[in-house]
Amino acid sequence: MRKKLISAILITALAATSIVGCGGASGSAASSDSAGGSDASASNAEATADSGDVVTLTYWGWDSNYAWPMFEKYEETHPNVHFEATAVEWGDMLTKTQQALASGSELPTIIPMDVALIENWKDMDILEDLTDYGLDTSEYVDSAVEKCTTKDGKVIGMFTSVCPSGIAYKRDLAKEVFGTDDPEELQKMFTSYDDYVKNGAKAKAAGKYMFHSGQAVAEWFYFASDVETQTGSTLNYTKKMTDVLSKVIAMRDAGVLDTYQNGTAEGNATYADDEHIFYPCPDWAITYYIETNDPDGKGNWGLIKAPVSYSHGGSALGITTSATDEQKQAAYDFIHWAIAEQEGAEAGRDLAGFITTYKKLTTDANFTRRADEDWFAGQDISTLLYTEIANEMAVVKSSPWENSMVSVRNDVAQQLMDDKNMTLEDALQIGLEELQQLVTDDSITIE
Amino acid sequence: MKNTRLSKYAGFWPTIFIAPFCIFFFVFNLYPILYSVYMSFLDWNGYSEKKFIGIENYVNIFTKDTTFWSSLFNTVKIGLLGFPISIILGLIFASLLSRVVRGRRFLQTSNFLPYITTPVAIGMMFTFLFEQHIGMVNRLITALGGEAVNFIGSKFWAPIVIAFMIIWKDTGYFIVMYLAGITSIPEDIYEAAEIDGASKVQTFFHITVPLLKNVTVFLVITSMIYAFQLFDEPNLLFTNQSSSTVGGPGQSCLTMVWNFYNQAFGPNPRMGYASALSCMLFLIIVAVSLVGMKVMNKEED
Repeated sequence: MRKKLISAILITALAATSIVGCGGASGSAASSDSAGGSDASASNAEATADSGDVVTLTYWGWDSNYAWPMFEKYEETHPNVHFEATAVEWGDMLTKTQQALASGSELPTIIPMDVALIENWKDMDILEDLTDYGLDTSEYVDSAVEKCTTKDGKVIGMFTSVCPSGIAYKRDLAKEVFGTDDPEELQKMFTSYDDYVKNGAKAKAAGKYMFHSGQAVAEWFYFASDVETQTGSTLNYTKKMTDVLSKVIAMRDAGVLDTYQNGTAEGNATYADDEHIFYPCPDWAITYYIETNDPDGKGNWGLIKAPVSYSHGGSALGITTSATDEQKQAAYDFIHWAIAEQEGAEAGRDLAGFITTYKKLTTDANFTRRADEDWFAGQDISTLLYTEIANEMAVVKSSPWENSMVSVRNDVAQQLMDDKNMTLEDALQIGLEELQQLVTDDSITIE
Repeated sequence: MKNTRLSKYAGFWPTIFIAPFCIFFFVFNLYPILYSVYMSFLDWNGYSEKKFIGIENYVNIFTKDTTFWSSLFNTVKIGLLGFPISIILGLIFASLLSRVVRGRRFLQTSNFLPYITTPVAIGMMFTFLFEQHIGMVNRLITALGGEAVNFIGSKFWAPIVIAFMIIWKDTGYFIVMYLAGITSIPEDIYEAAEIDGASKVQTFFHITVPLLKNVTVFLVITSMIYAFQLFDEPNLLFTNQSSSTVGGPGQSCLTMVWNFYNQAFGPNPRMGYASALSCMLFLIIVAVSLVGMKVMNKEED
């Protein structure tokens, strides 16, 4: 009797575990199936609802300065759409989605994809082809379309902003160190990377630093480099990093770089101090970094072009394949409104400083006029960013291993700043060893 | 007849009573453990098609993956830097506290507070304490005429900062455990020692320390297990910044669990390989715990 009872309990327990296992597996399989398909019509029958019903769109993302106000704005004119947004850290976004996919949990309707991870999003194959909903790729900035297009021609999202980058400076410090705060005169003084090293001597003599962080300039050089991170199955580590790190070392040795870690609270606090003159500055950084960290700095900033015009950052909005047809259509309508319609694009510009990738508006000088030029003492930074820099900037394709390269770049740049005797060869070797550990795909060659 | 009835109850009711635990143990502990062992034989990223590859993941750990060994080294290094000091300090402070009459509860509570502080707050606090430019420690160093040290950005100093975090956080817990042990030592032993003319130091080394051996064995073993599972402290020290790097400066703070986490949940996840890493970690913890127990109990034998 006892044996029977124990057996019965054990069988129950095993059955329970099997059910758990099967539940997980079936959830996962369902998720995989839906992720694998790109046909928007092959979705949920429950989706069909009366046109008067409210459609709920879920969203995960870090970009509360842009997404949240945009949702509110859209809901004002579209009462049949309701957004449920969940704040997810930038660094957790991909992981959270992967875990949801692995466990068969529900994915959000709309997903923001950072440019550095866009290739990883493509690999996951969970996003709708926006051309199925009517997105005309010829109407958007070519580089944005190119970044969002998969090998088989699917356009998995669209970038919300063009992200041209310049070099911002504090006018009072520029005048003190270089004798002028005029952007045209300063532009002539800083036409090459070497100019930053040469003129850095003046900053050093005045007890100032040109830049606050070795990591920040490494990031600038990385995005400005025309060396592709990956060609075929080869990661061009040495070529790209030699380009980046040699410039960092030249600036470090000239004593023009301070040792703050980029993006930390203490690093951000330097925007308001009187020690650091220049900051690599994508257009979104004006709102996110300058205006936020230097609240009393209105009118004290200027902007010049970097020696090589470049684009930095940005995120694309995509629609998950697991959403219902109704949600997908509503999500596309929102994305189209936010990027390609006057009202939405203006909201993005005015609320977050985002200039859309919709060509018709991007090339319209009246549209691209930023409302915050008073921070730059009335300088026409809009023309500089969206006409001059945007037309010149080279856009380099990302790699699925971009995040590993970026992680190595940050670490090596930090080590270079910590060890002033570290040579380029040392730095390259350290980075190579780290990258070899991070890149776990045997089919990838690191050069 | 009576015996038969008793033996019937002895079989039926205990089984019923322990059944909920057994079921929950099977479902939420044993099954996930066995499933992770199964996953360690797969080439799987968590959502792709599973591919059985036998022991290839384990072979790679031993033949290709230098990160595994460096993370093991880092874990042991940080653990050795932090826990022994923390345990010794816990013992000393507990011994001193046991003699305090007024304010003892306040001192006990204030020492225990770091242990219950949320890890995120600890990470941020230590970042601000040890930051090179605005950190309190560096301000003190520069005020005393020294040169600011890049504690968090240097691969030499960063593990030491983490060890310091461990000491700061866990000493309070060790104090409480040792205090509980000290209260169980009969007072007359101390009185006898005092009558025999033993000094305070002699009493500490010849009475307190030997009689707290059981507590020490427990704390050393649990600390070793905790050391191998170290993740929160290093991770939180380096991930509250946009330019965070995996493993801290020069990967000097990449612990075994952080390495596992990165493999399992990084941008290019390898759930199968990460499972193999977790199995290796499990084996290491079991081996170290057994060796630790054997060594510490040897003297008693």
